[in-house]
Amino acid sequence: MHHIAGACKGRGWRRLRAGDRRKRVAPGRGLGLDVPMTEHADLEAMLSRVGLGDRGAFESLYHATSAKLFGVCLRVLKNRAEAEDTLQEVYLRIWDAAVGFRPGQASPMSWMITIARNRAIDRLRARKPGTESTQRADGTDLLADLADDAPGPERSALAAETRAQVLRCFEELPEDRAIAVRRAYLDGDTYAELARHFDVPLNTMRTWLRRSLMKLRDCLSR
Amino acid sequence: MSEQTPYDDDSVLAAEYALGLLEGAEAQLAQARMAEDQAFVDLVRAWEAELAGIAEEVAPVEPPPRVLAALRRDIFGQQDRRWWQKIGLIPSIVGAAAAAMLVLIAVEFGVLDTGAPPVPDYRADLVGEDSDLVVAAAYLDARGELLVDRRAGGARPDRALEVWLIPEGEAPISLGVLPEERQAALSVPQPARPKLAEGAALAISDEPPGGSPTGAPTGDVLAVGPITAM
Repeated sequence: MHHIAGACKGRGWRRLRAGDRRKRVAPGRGLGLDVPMTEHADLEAMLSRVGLGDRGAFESLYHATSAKLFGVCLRVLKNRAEAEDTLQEVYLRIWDAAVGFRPGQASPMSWMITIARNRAIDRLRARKPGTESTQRADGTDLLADLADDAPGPERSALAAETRAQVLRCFEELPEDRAIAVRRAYLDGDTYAELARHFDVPLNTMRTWLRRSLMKLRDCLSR
Repeated sequence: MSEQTPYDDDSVLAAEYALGLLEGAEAQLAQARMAEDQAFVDLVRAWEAELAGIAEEVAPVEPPPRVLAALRRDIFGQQDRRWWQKIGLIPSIVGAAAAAMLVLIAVEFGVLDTGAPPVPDYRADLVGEDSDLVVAAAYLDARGELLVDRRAGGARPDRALEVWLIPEGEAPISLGVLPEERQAALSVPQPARPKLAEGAALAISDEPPGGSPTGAPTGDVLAVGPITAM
């Protein structure tokens, strides 16, 4: 059962709650990394060795995680060349920042996904002429299977316990609100872009999303 | 940009920051809090950890090999050029136990020669970054001898281990090739002796049999350690 406790360590919200109840079963699939949860301990060990400048550990970490992080970069940027450049920056960042990774604060995978997502969003925004833009510079390299945010049959077939808590909490939100949070996370949409997408006034969009985030937080803390 | 919804508490602001939804003055304010408000930082980190779960829905895609090749150039290429300037960053993991053992080695060597145990002036624990090589070294200034004890690991097949003295800010100086025996006494060249002191380091590189043909390390650095006074 130690792998379940290990997974709980990485969960953000419940860590912050006093009297943290840890009854809930943690996601078993490690944020979509198709390895058993027990490998989280391996990833933590690799990361701490990377922090000491261990090249062998760096290569192991790369082989274990790069497909997931490349998937995230591709999903955000929808352009292979840019996603490759970004992935390279992401692992340089991991190499430099691994020394500051604290296993108790985040799971290694969510820590690395955050780096990849943030770096990709920065790149996306640098590409956009302004935050008002709705047009992506190009979608020519868009991979059809990456564009689909809706959970496919394979995903829904997963036992509820194995899904990330945030995805289960999405189910408690009205569908369009969950999509809005997803778009902000994976497409880097600003409030203005979300307002345009959902065809509502900007302030309505802000109100919407803030309420959704409160609900999400309450669900995550449960 | 009027505030229609008051923030329930900082947690919603932290979520907006983590998602990158804040703009203008709000973004600047949140950025400033990230630098000085640990409670806010914790909220943002908690959101980041949770939101990363969204990526569970993103399918993994194998990146092309050129990304790793470029990373090797970026990280390892650079390190190969400058490794002797970086050794201060590599912590010694051998520690005090090795120091005690080194005195014993010194005694062993000393007894064989003179019957009186010499006291090493400096020592270094050389440990591998990604090799299993562990070498303890002690320097006897009076004799100009470096006693080395290979505690783990060894040369690669058909290769040799060469010991280097790296004075601070200077190029490596060869101290010779390690013999196959576990323990050895290397004679330090006269001009190098004053440089074997604190601030300098010892390193072992992978070289062709007989040692580097160029006088400078040519192969991988297998172990390094800073020199400390005993």
